[in-house]
Amino acid sequence: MHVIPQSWSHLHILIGVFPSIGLAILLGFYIAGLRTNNDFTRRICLALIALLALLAIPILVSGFGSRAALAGNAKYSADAIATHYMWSIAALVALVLSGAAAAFQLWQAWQAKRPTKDPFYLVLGLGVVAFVLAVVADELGLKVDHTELQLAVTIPDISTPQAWSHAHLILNHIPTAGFVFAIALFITALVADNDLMKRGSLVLFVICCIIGVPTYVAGTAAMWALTQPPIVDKEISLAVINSHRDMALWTLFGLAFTGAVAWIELWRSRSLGRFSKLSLNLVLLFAVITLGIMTETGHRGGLINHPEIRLASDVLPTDANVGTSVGIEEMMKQMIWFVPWQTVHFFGYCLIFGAVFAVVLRVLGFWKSVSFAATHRLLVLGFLGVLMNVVSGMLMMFGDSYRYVVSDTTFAPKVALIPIGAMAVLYFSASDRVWNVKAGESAPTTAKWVAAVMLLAWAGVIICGRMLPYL
Amino acid sequence: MEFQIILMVIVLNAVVLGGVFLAAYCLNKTASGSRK
Repeated sequence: MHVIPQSWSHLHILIGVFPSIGLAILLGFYIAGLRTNNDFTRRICLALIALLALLAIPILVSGFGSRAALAGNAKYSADAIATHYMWSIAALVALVLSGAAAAFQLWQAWQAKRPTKDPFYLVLGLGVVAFVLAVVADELGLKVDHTELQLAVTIPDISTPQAWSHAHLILNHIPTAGFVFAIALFITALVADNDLMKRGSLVLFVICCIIGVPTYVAGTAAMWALTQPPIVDKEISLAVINSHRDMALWTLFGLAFTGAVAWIELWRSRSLGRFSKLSLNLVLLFAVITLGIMTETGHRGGLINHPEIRLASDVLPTDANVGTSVGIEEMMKQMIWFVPWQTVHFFGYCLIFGAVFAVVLRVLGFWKSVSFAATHRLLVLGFLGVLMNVVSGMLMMFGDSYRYVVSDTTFAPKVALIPIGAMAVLYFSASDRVWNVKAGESAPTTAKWVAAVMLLAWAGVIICGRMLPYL
Repeated sequence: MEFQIILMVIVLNAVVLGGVFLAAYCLNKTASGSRK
C-alpha cells in the first residue's frame, strides 16, 4: 500500500482538511493563551497559524492538478468542481490573510521585545472567517467525489441512510488530523515545560479519542449504506471495506489507550498538583503509535471510494469473508459471547451513571457539604465505565450492526449523545474553576449547565440503548 | 447451554469488574501521592 501520495488528487484529499481542523484547534489554544495571559502559548499558536497558511500553496497546486486530471471524466460534475473551487479560493485567501496577520503580530512582538498582543482580535477574527469558509469548502469537496451521499432512493427496512456515510466522512478527519496537531503542540509543551499547553494537548487527545467512537460506529453503518443494496455506478468492494475495518479496530484500541492515559494524567494531576513525566511520555508514545495506525486506516478507507488514488501496483483484497472483524462478527452472533458482554455493558452504565449523578448532585448544589474535589475522585469510576462500554458496546454492535443502523431508530441519538456526555465528563475533569469549589460554596453557573447537559446526555444514552429492540 | 451462558456471564463480569475496581484502587492511591 502506498501511503505517500503519488498523484495530485491523492495529495489534495490528504492535505485538504488540515486548514479547517488545524484552525479549530489552534484558535482554541490561542483563546486559552489570551484568557490565561500565557504569551508562550500565543506565540506558538501564531507561528503554527502562519505555517498552516503556507499549506495554501500545496492545496492550491494539488487542486489545479486534480481538476486537470478529472477534467472530461463524466463521473465528476463540472458544476460541483466549480462551486468547490470558488469557496476553496475564498477559504485559502482568508487562511493566507490569517497567517500574514499572525506572522505580523509575532514580528512586531519580537521587534519590540514584548509579549504578543491582539488588540483588535485580528488574527482571531480572520481565523474564524477562514475556518468557516474552509468547512464549507471541505463539505463541497466531499460532494465532488461522494455522489452516493445525494442518493434519494431508499428501500424501507433495507437501505441504511447515507447520512451515516456523510457523518463518517466528516468525523474520521477529526482524530486523524487532530492527532497531528495534538502531537505537535504536546511535543512543544514538553520541550518548553509549559503546563497550559500540556493540559490543552491532553484535553485535545481525549477529545480526538471521544470522537473516535462515533466515527467507528458511523463507519460500520456506512459499510451497510454502501453495500446493501449496492450503489449503482460505484465499484465498492466489501473486501476492501473489511480491510479498512480491521485497521480501524486497531485504531480504536490505539485511541482507547492514548485517551485513557491522557485522561488519567489530567485527572491525577489535579490532586497531585503536577504532571508525571513518565505518564506524559507514555501519552506521547501511544499517540505516535496510534497516529501511525490511523494513517494506514485512513489510506485503506480512501481506497474504498477513490479509484483515482489507486495505483496499478496496489493489490486490493478480494475475499470479503476473511479478517478480524468478520471473525468477531461470527463470534458475537453466538449467545454465549453476546449475553456476557451485554451484562458488562449494563455494569458499565451503572458505573457511569453513579459517578455522573454524584458530580451532578454536588455541582447543582444538592450536596454542598463536600468539596468538588471529593466528587472529582469518583470520576475515575465513571471513566472506567466509559472504557468498559466502548469495548463491550463495540463487541455488541458486531453481533447485529445492520439491524441497529437500519431498523432501530434510537441508535443514532444514542451514538450522538455519547460524545456529548463524555465531553461533559472531560469538562469536570479539567476545569480549574470547578476544581476550586470548596465545601459549602456554590459551583459556577456554567458548570451547573454542563452538569444538567451531562445528566440528560447519559440518561438519554441509557434510555435510547434500552429502547433499541422496541422502537 | 443455559448453564454455560450463566457461567460465562459470571466469569467474564467477575474478571472485568475485578479489573475495574483494582484499577480504581491503584489510580486513587497514586492520585493521593502515596505510591507504597
